Amino acid sequence: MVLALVGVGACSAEKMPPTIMLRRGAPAPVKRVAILPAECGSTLCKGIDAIVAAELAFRGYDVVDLDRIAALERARTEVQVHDQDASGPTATSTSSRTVTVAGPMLSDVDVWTLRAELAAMGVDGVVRVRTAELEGRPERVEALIRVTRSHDASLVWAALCEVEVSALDMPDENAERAVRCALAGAAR
Amino acid sequence: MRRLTTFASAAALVGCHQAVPHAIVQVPPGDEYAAGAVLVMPTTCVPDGVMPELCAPATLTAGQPAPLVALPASYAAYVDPTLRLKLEFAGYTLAEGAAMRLETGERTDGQTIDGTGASYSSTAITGGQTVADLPPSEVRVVARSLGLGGVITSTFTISPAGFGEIRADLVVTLWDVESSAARWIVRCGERMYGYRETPLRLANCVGNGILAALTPGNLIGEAL
Repeated sequence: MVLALVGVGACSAEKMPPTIMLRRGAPAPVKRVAILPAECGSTLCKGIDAIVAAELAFRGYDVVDLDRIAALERARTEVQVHDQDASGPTATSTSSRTVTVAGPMLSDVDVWTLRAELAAMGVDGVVRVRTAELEGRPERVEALIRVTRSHDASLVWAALCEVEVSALDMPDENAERAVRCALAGAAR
Repeated sequence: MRRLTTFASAAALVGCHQAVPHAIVQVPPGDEYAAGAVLVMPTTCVPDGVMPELCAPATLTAGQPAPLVALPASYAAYVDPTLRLKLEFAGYTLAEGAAMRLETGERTDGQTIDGTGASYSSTAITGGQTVADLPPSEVRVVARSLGLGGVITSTFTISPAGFGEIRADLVVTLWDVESSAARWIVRCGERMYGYRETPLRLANCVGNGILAALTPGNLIGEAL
C-alpha cells in the first residue's frame, strides 16, 4: 500500500522547470501589430489576449485590437423607459435603459476586406497566441506567441513555453501561466 | 489483500507511464519542406465501421449523469489547438479556415440596465459564411486568391479494433494548392483510451511528428 502511495505521489509531487524555446526570423522592424483572437482549446482566451497586448505595448509595439475597431459606421439605439406610479399613497418611479449598437467590428469582416483594412492602418505585423493542453503524465500546458510580418507571413519571432501543471488547477490559470512564461522567454 | 496491494501498486506506476503513440511521416521524394502561409481546416471525424454517434463526443453521455466538464460537439476541440500550435512552431503561418469569413458578419452589441440597477450585456454575430463551409475545390480557389501555398486537412477516423474495442487514427496532410498533391502526410493512431485523452495525445503525436521530420531543432525532448 505504501508503494502505491509513493507511486501516486511520484506523479504529482515534483514539477520540472518550464521548457522555453525562442525562434527569431530575419531581422526587420515591426512597429504596429494586430492581435488575432487567441486560440486555447477549452479555456477562456480573452484575458490571455489582454496580457499579451499589454506586454507588447510595454515593449513599444503599437497594438491594434480588431475587436475594438468598427469596420463601418455602427448604428446606436438607446431606449430609456421611466415608469411613475402615483396611484398609491406614495409615488414610486423606476427606470430602465437599453443600448443597442449594430454593425460589424473589424474582426467580423470578410478576409479580403480585413487584409485591405490592416494595410490601410499601417499594420505591419500579426500576433497569434495559442495555448494547448498536452495529454500525459505529468499534465502539461504549452503556449506559443508568434509574431509574423503581415505582407509575407514571414517570422519575426516566436516564443514557446511548456509548463507542468497540476490537475487541480483551473485550465485558465494554467494557460495564463504558460503564456506569461512564453512572454518571459521572448524578453530574453 | 497482498495481491490487491500489488495490483494497486502496479496500477499506480503504470498510470505514470502510459504508452505513447508513434508518428508515421510520409514526405514524397523530391518535395522539399516549405514553411509559409497555409490554410488550415478544422479536424473532421470519420466513423469507419462504427456508430456515427462516436464522432460526436457530446452525444456519448446522453442519458447519463452530466460529466464535470461537458464534452464538446466535435473532436476538433481537442485536436486543433495542439496541432495548430505545433504547426506554427514548425514554421507555418496558419490562416484558420473556420475563422476566415467570406462575407462580413452582422454584429449587435446590447446592454440593458433595469430598474434595480442590474446590468446585462449581450453580443450576437450572425451570417458570415467561412472558408470551412466550402467544398475542397472551392477552398483551393480561396487559398490561391489569398496567396496561400497549401491547405492542411486533419481527419480523425474511428474504427473497430476487435474484442469490442475501438481505435482512433489522426491523419494530417498538407496539400499543394497548385498541384493538389500531398506534400506530406503524418499519421498517429492508438486504441481509444478516452474521448478526451486519445485525441489530445494523437494531436501531440502528429505535431511532434511534423516537428521531428521538418524542423527537428524545434522539437522539445519528448518521445514521439
